[in-house]
Amino acid sequence: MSSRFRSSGAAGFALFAALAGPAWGQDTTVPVTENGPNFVATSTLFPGGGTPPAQAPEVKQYEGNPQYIAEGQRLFDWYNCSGCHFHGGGGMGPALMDQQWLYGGRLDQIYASIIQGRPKGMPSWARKIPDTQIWEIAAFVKSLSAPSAVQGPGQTMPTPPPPPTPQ
Amino acid sequence: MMRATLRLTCTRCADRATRLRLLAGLVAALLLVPGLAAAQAPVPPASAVPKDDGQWIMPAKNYAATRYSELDQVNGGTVKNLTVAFTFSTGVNKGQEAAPLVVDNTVFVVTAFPNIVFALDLTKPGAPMKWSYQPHPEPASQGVACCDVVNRGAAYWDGKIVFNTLDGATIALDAKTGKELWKTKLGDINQGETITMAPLIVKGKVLVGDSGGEMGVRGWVTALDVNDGKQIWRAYATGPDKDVLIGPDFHPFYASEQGKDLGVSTWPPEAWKIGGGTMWGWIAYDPDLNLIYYGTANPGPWNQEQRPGDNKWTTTLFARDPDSGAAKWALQYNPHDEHDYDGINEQILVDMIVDGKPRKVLMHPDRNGYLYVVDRTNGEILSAEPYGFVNSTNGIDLKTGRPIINPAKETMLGTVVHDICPTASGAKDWNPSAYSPRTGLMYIPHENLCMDWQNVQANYIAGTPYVGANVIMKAGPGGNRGEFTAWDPMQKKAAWKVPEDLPLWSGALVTAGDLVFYGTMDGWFKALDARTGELKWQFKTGSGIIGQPIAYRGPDGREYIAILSGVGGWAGAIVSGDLDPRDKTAALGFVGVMPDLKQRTATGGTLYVFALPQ
Repeated sequence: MSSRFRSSGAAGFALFAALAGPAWGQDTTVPVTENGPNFVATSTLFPGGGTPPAQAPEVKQYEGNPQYIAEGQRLFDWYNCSGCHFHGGGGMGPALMDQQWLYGGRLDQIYASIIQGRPKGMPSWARKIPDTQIWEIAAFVKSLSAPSAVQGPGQTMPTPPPPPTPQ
Repeated sequence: MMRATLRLTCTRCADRATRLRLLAGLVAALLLVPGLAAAQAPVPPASAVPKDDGQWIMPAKNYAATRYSELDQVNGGTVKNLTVAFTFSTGVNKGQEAAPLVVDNTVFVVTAFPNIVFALDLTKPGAPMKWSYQPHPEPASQGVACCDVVNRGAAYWDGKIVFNTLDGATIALDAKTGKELWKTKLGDINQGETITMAPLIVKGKVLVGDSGGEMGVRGWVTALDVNDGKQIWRAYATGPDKDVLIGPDFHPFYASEQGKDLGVSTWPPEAWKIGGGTMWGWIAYDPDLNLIYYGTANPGPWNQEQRPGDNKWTTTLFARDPDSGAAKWALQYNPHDEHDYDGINEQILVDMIVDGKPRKVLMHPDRNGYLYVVDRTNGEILSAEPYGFVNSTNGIDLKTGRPIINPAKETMLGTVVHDICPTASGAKDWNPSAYSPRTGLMYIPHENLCMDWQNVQANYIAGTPYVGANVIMKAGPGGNRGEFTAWDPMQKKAAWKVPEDLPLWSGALVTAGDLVFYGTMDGWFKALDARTGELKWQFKTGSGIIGQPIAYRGPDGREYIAILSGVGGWAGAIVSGDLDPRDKTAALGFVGVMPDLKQRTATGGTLYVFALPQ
C-alpha cells in the first residue's frame, strides 16, 4: 500500500517536474537507482542519454571466480536448469554457450533473468533459490560462453564412440 | 469334399485344438483362392472406415487410423505432373506437426504455439482465408514443453472444430465462423502439464490427453462433452484403480497386469504421483466393440534407478469404454521402462487371419522397435517383430507379454552405457504410419538411431524437468538416420525399405493411386510407389517437413494432396530452438545426431497443397 502510494506520488511529481522545464527537472527527477537486480535493463535503449546503468556491485565479486562458478555448476543441475538448457546447448530453454543473449549477457542481467523469469518460459526463481546461489548460477551461466568455457558434466561424454554394428 | 477332408484330417488329430486349427487353416486356404493377395490382406473394420467422401475430418482419416485415401487421380502414371495448387504461410516458425483437416470445402490448419487456427475457403481461387482464431495461450507454456511447442492437429464433429492449446486448454470453434463455442482448461503449466496431441471425438466425447512426461506430470486421458466442454470422465495412468478407472470389467490378458492398485504398488511410495504415463499421441476406436485404444507415455524420471518396480500403467496400451472410461484390458509394453520408450504411437485397426484364424487386431509400431499385433478384443500379443534395429531387448516373450531385457543395455547411475538401440525417441516416434488395404502393407516412417546414456540424480521441482539422464544420440547401423519401411503384417517382415539420411519425423499417407507420401526434415515431400518403394515424385518445400500428409477431393472434383512444412519437433529442435550443436546432450540428446540440420533447412510454417494440372 505504502509503496503504491510512493510510486504514484513520485510519478505525479515527475510529471510536474517535466512540465516545469528541464533545468528545474534536473534537480528534482525521481532518483534513479543505478544498481540492484530489479533495475537491470534488458533493453539497450536508454532514452535521454543512451548510457546503460552501472553494473551491480556483485558482478565484481562473482564474475570469473572459479569457486563460485564450480558451485554454480552444481546448483545448475540441482535446480534442474540443465533439464532445459542442458550443458549450454539448450533444449526447452535457449542455448547459453553461444553469444546470443535475449535479455542481456552481463552477469547482473543473467542474475535478473533467473530471479525475475522471462515471459517465454523462463521461470521466476526468486522464491525458490537463495540470492547468493542465484549469483553463483549466473556466474556459471556466464562462464559457458567464455572463450575458456568451463566444461559441464555432459561434456564428459563429448566424443561419441563409433556407430554400432548390427548384431 | 470338404467334409471328407475334415474327416480324413480328424483321424489324425491329437486333440480338439489341433482339429480347430486345421479347420481354420483350411478356411483360410479356401479364402485365398479367388483373390489371392486381395483376400489375404488385412482389412480395416468397416464400421471404423466409412466410405471415403473426399473429406479429411480427423488427423488419422478414420477411427481405424489407416490414413488411407480412396482417391486415385494421382497415381503412378500421373504423379509426375503433380504441382503446387496453392500455399499458405502460417506465420509460425516452430515445428508444424499437425494434419490439415478438410470439411465442407474448407481447409482447417492449427499451428504450433501460439496455436492459431486458420480456415481457408477452397471454393475460391487461391483458397483465401475465411477466418482465423487466436487462443493466446500463456507464453510461459513454452518453457515446460519438452520437445518443441508442437500441435498435432484438430478434429471435426458436427459443425465444430476442436483442438488443444499448449497451455492445457481444449477449445471448440464454430467451423463456419471461427467463433469460440467453449474453452475448458485441463492442464496446469505450473505442474509441467501441456497439451500437444490432436483430440479424437467418439460418440460426442472429445478425448484429450496431457504431455509432460519429462516434467514429473501424472498422465491422464479425459473425455469432454463436445457440446459444452464439460468433463465426463478422466482416467489417470498411475495411482489407485479408482483413479485409473479399473473396475470389475477389467480383464487383462497377462498375469503381470492382474492385481489390485498396481498403479500404486509397482512404484516406490508416492512416486506414482509424479510418475508420468502421459498421453500425447494417438487414439483409435472400434465402434463394433465400443472400445477406444491408446498407449501411455514413459515413466518419470528417465533415471530408472529412482523408481524400482513395473511403474504401471506407464507405456501401457489401454482398451476403454468411451462412454464411461472404464478399462477393459491393459498391456504394458515396457514394464519399468529404462529408455524413454513411450507407448503413445498409433494403433491401426485391421481384421486379419493369424495362424489360420480370423482375428480382430491392432497394429502398433512401438518406440521399443517392435511391431505389435495385438488381439484388440482381449489384449493378447499375437506377434511382435522388430521393424528397425534393436539391441536393448532380445525380443518379446509372447507368454508373458514382456520384452526380454538385454542386461548389457540397462542404464546405470554414473555410468555411460554405449550404443543402446533404439534411441529414447524410439525406432519410431509419434509420426503416424498408414495402411493400404489394396497392398496389404503398413507404411512406417521411422528412425534408425542409437544412443549413449548416463543416469544422473533427478530432483523433483514442480514445473521443471524431471529426467535424470544425460543422453547423446547417434546414427544407427548403416549410418542412415531415417528409414521408410513398408511392413507386411501377414509375412511379419518388411516388404521393402527406403533408407533416409535424416530421421523421419513426418507421418505417412497412402492412396488408392498406390502412392505413399511422406516428407523429410530437409524439406523434400516425396511420393513412392506403394508396392515397390520406387521414388515417383518429389518436391522441395520451404522448410523441413514433420507434418502429416492428407488427400482430399476439391470442389472442382480434383484430388489434392496437402502437407504442412515447417521444421521443428524434438528431432528438429536444433533449428526451431536455435540450439548449439557443440553440446551433444542438448534437447535430451537429439542435438548430438542432428549437427548438420542448421545447414540444411531453416524455420518456416507453410501449408503446401498439390494437384494435377487442370
